[in-house]
Amino acid sequence: MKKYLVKRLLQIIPVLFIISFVVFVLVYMAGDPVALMLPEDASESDREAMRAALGLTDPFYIQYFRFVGDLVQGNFGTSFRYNQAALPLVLERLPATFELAAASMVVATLMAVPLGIYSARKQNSLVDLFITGGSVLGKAMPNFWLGILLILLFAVNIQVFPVSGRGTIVHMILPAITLGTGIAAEMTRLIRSNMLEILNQDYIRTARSKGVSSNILVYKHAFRNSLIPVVTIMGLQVSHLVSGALITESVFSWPGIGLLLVQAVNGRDMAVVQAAVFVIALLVIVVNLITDLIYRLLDPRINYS
Amino acid sequence: MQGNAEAKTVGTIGQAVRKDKATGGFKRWCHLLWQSKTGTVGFIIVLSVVLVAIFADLLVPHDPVENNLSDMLAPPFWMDGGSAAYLLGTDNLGRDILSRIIVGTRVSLLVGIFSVVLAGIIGLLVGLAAGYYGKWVDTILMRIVDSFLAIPSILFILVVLAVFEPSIMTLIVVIGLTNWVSYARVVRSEVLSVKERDFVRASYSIGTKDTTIIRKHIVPNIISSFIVISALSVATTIILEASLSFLGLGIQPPDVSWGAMLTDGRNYLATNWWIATFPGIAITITVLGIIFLGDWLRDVLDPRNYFSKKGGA
Amino acid sequence: MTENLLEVKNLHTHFFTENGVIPSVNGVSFSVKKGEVIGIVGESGCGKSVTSLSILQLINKPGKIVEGEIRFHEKDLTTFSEKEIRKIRGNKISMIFQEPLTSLNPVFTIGHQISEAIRLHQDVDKKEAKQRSISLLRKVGMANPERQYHAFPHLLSGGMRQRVMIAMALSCNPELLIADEPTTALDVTIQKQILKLMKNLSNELNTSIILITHDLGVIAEMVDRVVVMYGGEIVEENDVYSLFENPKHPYTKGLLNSTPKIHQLKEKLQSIEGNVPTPDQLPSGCNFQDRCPFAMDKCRELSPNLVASTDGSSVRCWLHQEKEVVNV
Repeated sequence: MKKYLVKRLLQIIPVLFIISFVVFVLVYMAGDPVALMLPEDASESDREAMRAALGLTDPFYIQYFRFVGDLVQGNFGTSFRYNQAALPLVLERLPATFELAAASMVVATLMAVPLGIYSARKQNSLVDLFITGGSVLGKAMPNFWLGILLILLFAVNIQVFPVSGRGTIVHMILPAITLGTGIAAEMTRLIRSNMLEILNQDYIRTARSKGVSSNILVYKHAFRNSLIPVVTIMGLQVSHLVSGALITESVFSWPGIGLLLVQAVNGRDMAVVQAAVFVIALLVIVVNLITDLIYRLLDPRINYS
Repeated sequence: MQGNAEAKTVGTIGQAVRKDKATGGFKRWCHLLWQSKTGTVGFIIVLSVVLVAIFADLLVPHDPVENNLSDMLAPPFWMDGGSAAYLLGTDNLGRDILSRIIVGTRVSLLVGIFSVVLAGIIGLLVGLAAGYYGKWVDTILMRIVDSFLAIPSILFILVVLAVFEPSIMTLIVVIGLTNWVSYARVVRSEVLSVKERDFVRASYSIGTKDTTIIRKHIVPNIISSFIVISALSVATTIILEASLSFLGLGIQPPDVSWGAMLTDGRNYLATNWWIATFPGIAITITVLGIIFLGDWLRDVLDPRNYFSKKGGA
Repeated sequence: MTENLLEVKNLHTHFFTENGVIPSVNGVSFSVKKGEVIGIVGESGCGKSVTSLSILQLINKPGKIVEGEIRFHEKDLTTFSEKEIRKIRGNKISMIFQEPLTSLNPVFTIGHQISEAIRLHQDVDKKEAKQRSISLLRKVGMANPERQYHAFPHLLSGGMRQRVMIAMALSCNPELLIADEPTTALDVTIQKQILKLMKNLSNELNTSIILITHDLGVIAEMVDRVVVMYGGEIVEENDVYSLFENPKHPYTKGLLNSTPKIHQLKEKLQSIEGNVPTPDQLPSGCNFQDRCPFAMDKCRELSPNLVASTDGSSVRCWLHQEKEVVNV
């Protein structure tokens, strides 16, 4: 187990290396930041001096190593919009995003698990058709549009929820449903097909031949087995969660890392863009690692050595 | 990345496709399509969207970009104050929503299709290189693929959009550059399995050129997985483009994007719901059509389904 | 004559697929007496397994018993509700399946799975169930049963897993044990051990056994009476000695000729020409007609009936039709 963990942690290094390289190349290609920093009437020699001071005259690889060195120290530069260090700016937005992500995962799981299991048990029934159709529709519907429709219905027409902002649990309901539904659509489909496969396994037949009732069959024998892929499925949804969070936070003005990133991209605030991208990437990697570990704990067949 | 699940199942589909061509051709495909309700619906939707995009200039009742402040915020025709001139109403600048939706098909399809073509080409080349040359080339390329898979592609896209001016071209390139990974994996695994087959070894031994082997043995085997992955990629890309445009990071005016239309409509939700509603319906129906068509293609191109449909236990 | 424990009468199990109805079992009748071991043989796809699964109503959709009775202690199991049949399953009648690897749930310990069977049908607490499970494991020859109780299935060998399956099947002292190819997936040496174990335990507990197999060697070793199935029907039934001595149906002859015999050095092993037809592709007339070396014109036109003779055997073949008809 330890060995495996070390191996997985080591695998993160090339990933981070590639991200840092891509980001650096893009920023390098973006051209001269000096023009933005100095007043327009600055002379060419002033610009030259500024470039040299920033190390922009150095060769590409030296600039890259400096960039990586800064990254390792958590130094992403200063946000010119907020005029403060980028990393703390990003980190202070984390709780809001965690809150939203957790709430949407709960919403998604509460929807997807029962729906997926139910439609697998009643395969080809009308309800199954309805659920499967709903999950396709959920996949086809853009997240932001769903959010807008929810706002239209529940915040504008019937004013039960606030349009935007963060604070009370009431603020969280619409964003969590918006983000959760998109994820639930994909999850339901995966859980259904998974459950169908499990219900056809030999050991389910064995359990039936012992006289196990169909409820125990589903919720004990099959569900425990389906938990293994469900954890993987939840891990796979992390990507959806990230892109969904960016959009949902923007729709509901939820003050999380996604909204910050979108605003930074819009305002060309590169320090914040870089910091946010790295923090999100690292989080995604960590979440994937954790799901992988849970997966291993759930499945006794996996060898720990 | 959605391609992974498909990638596993689509290994040897090519044979079934070739068989199809030999025995049936056009008529047989029509018959297969007609058998599936969702497939037919999907096909009709996709065909209509494509036709609308091609003939958009002829179909639009009004200029989609010109402001017309005297007619602003007109409701759809069935509501009080609506008129037949603006079937789906107008937006805050008096632009006809129907016309804008019609023109919007172009951006959606352009970005959706061309980014997928680009991704397919890159994926094909990377996959061929990795599978064919093996060794360190394979190791490095697959590490890169894994890295792309390890983090959400939206992050790369956002970094690019922070650096470059957003435009249709930028979007096509950047989405193409992040979506090639699933293709590369399919191609690589197919190349690896083809390489092991005896007839390929045999053709090597008689000195057949690499390009011939690729054309004769590899391309036919991956073509159907490409079709299936592409169909779903076009669907997700259309949503992605709309989302980016909605966030103000994608298509910029005067180009018309469904996503950007929603941004306009958002500020008028309380009073003029139609501005944000109709573009959303357009996106959903288009994507739904592509998913239906893609699912149908997956079913017919999968040899297992193919044979079970023909009967036998 | 002892009374019949189980009587299957005119069983029809069909599968309703998108491509039409597949009649997997078509009018099968046989009976099992108390303590008797009967064998059902046939190539794969002949309806053996479907027959056995039908007894406990374990047929999955789209399969369905469309006709017939399954009388267990004179009561027709096909009329039982799901709740009633559950009380029979694993309790009065239990099953062992072919693949010991996939037939045990991978995420529960073997002890848990045996205890579960015990606690489903007997009013005992967890501790008692565990004690019984351990003694069952000992009985089926597991070394160190206290420790193995906590083992997960994937840690055991195929033979050991099949012992676990037997322990589980016998946990409630069933009156009838249905073993569907119990040794097919195992090594030859392990096969012998498992068969011996089943035989000993059934003698000890006076359990009747229905043994389903394609292996005539297993049949010769284990059973009292043999039912030969082909194309969803019974083609021959006889006691084991008479059947091996004097097979009547050409299919039975073919099966026997394709089995190697150690004490009877034959110059060449024969195989039956052709393949088993799937149930929806059966030929007209007699099901076996297209593979039968003795096929006559009549065989291609009319399907023969299963005809019983006075010595207790019955056969479905136009070559043996001079006796009275017992079944439609």
